[in-house]
Amino acid sequence: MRRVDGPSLVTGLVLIGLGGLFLLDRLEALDLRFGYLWPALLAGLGAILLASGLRRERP
Amino acid sequence: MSQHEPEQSQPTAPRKFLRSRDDRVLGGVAGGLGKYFGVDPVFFRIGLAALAVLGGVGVFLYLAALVFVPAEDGTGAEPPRRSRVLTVVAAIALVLLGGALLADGGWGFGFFFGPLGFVLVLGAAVWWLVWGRSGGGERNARGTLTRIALVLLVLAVSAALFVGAFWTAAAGGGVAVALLVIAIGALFALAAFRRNVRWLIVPALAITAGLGLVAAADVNLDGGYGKRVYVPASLADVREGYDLGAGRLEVDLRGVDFTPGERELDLEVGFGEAVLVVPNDLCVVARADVGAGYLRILGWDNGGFNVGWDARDRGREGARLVVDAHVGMGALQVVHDPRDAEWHEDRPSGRGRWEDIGEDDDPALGRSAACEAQTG
Amino acid sequence: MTPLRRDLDNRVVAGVCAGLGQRLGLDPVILRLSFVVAAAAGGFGVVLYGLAWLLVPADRAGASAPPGPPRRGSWQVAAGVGLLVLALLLLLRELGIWFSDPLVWPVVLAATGSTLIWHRSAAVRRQTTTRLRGLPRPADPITRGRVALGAALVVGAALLFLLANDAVSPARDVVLVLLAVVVALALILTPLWWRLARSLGEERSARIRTQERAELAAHLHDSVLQTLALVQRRADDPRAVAALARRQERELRAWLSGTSERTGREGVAAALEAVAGEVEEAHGTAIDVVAVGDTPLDEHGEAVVAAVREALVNAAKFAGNAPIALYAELEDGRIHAFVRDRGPGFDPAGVPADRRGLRESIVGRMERHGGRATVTTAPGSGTEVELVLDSPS
Repeated sequence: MRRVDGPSLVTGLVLIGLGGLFLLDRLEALDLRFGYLWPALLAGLGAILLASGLRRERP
Repeated sequence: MSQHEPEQSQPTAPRKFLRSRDDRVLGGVAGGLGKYFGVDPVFFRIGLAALAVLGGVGVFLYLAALVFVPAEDGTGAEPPRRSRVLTVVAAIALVLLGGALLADGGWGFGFFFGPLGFVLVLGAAVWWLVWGRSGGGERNARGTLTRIALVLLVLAVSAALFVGAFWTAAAGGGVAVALLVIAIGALFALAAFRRNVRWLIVPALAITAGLGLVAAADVNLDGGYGKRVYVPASLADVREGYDLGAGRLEVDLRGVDFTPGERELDLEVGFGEAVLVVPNDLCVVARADVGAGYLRILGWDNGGFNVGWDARDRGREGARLVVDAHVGMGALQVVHDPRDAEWHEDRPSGRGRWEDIGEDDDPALGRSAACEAQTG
Repeated sequence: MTPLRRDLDNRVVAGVCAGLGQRLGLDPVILRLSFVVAAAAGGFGVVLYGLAWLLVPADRAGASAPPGPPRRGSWQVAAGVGLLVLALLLLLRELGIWFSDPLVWPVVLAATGSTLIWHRSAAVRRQTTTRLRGLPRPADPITRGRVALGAALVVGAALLFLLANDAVSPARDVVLVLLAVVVALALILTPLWWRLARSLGEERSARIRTQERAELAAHLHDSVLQTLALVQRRADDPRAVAALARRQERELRAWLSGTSERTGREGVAAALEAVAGEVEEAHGTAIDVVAVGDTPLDEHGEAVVAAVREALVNAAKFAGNAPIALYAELEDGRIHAFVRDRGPGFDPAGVPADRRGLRESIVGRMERHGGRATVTTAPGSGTEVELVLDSPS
């Protein structure tokens, strides 16, 4: 049974989330400003780092 | 306590880097480098010379090498260890000297936030992603050079993707790029996170960043490229709106006689500069925003991200021009005199806040004096 | 695979370049040059070096440490959490739920600094494992680095606050006065303090010497002399003599390497080592023992030691000739031990009756004393028994 690989999943989700956010902006459903862009990017990076840090590295 | 076989053999010290004695033009630094990496010293000579010309770093590097790197003494013996204190003192002296020398040469102390620092950090991130902390394989100098080259390649490709995503999104394909990002995300989530595929995250993030910039700044490259200057001679020649994809857009309205009443004018530049020159006696009320860059409305200016200005108008009669302007990334200026729109080294700046300025700001700024005359 | 470590033996400043050079296969001089250039061009190199100093653990040269329990990449967790918090802050700022920039950011900096200063347990746990008992922990360079950075952040936050609120000039006057007073006091008091500290130090070292000599005598009396007496009595049984001699040798060796700080009481670490020695002798396998920290031995601790013994015997019996590792973290009554072997492993489902019984004796025993035991195994991938006992309070 292969384990779910945390960092990869989180990276994928982050990319999907950001992509969706930008899609909505381009479709005029919402207006994204830099004030919201920075938190989104930083949060995404943070989530990826967190996931890779929590991954147990078995020697 | 019995010992089992140790996990790894005791690591041997890497080969020492020495200044060459035979192959020397000046101090043998390039020769030593060549011998150490197994590469023709000519490359290092060219590199050092180029760096010396571009900002003087090469000179500094050479000096540092002369101080820190011991010279071969021809016998192949290990050179004696220097005193630690001396080395640290020499390092500090060099750093100060170098800082003073290079400060004017284009690197300077703004370097910390500069592009090279950014590239270094990115490169380190890619390195860590690919080889992690325990990365296997060869530990020799050649292997390391190869890795550096690979990292630079990934960075170059990512930079190209960034620009490509930006341009595509700004030209109207934002939806497509966004869908692409989502698709990549889905791939990541489904695929195994093998170490040799980890580096893909950098190009993926580059595409996302390019798209994000366009989305947040609302950059629109429809409308052509280049420099456009419009000088309408009469009211009839004044269009409803002027727009430009990328470049410089100039609209000079000083020759126009405005009739009483409100008139609207739209300005849009995706990437570049927009300059609107208005006559002194016209009441101009502007709603303007810049996604990222610089905004100047008559007496008021500011810079940063999502800078905006929205002047509430109070004029009732007379001629009034309501401007609705947007620049994605770049500069937007509404001035009475085109010379005001030229870039100066030290231009007096207004407040330096990073948010939208609204009605709570000084209402006299950002509106032409002519509007005051109208309120009576 | 070798992780990156700072090489303290070959260091110039903090061993960053030396360690990096080892890792990359490069002469450290090249890396030093790079850092110096980067430092000259805007201070970037200093920042990088500082980061490396903090985040890269130091290497205890000569210690071939057996693999410890799975380590969490704690810097990534910290950075990730930090970024998430920063993102949240920026979002709140954008939404308007904010005080004002000059107020909030210094507070954030100060909070980060304080967290670094007070968050110690992770740094203590990340110490490179060696056979130690009582290695002085506060001198741990990683902890020192973190405390220093935390303090710098707090000071920086205070300065930033003053700067942003235009309060620098009046503050400067106050600071100057304070500084003058402090310098004056220091000049007056320093010689006195110096003499006092010196005499105290001499007294203390004399006391320690006498104490150590007494302990040495006591230990020799208890152990070596008794063993020699036993050897004389059993002189006709060579195997017994050899066993006695080996046992004494091991015990003496262990004692010699751990004499820097004596707790005066038998600790769990010693008990674990003793137990491992017994199993080693009885079954003829090699057991590597690593104990980090120590804690006094009470009845719960004894139960854990007994459980460890069972696990070791298990491993010795069924793991073939694969090496066995016993790793234990001991602190304030909390015992966290791993018995790991690289043997053939077993399928937890299809276990013969006697082995399952043993597992119950391990798991059951731990649970009766308020702890827990976990057995992780699979055919072909060895076995790991994890025993955890939290401190009763």
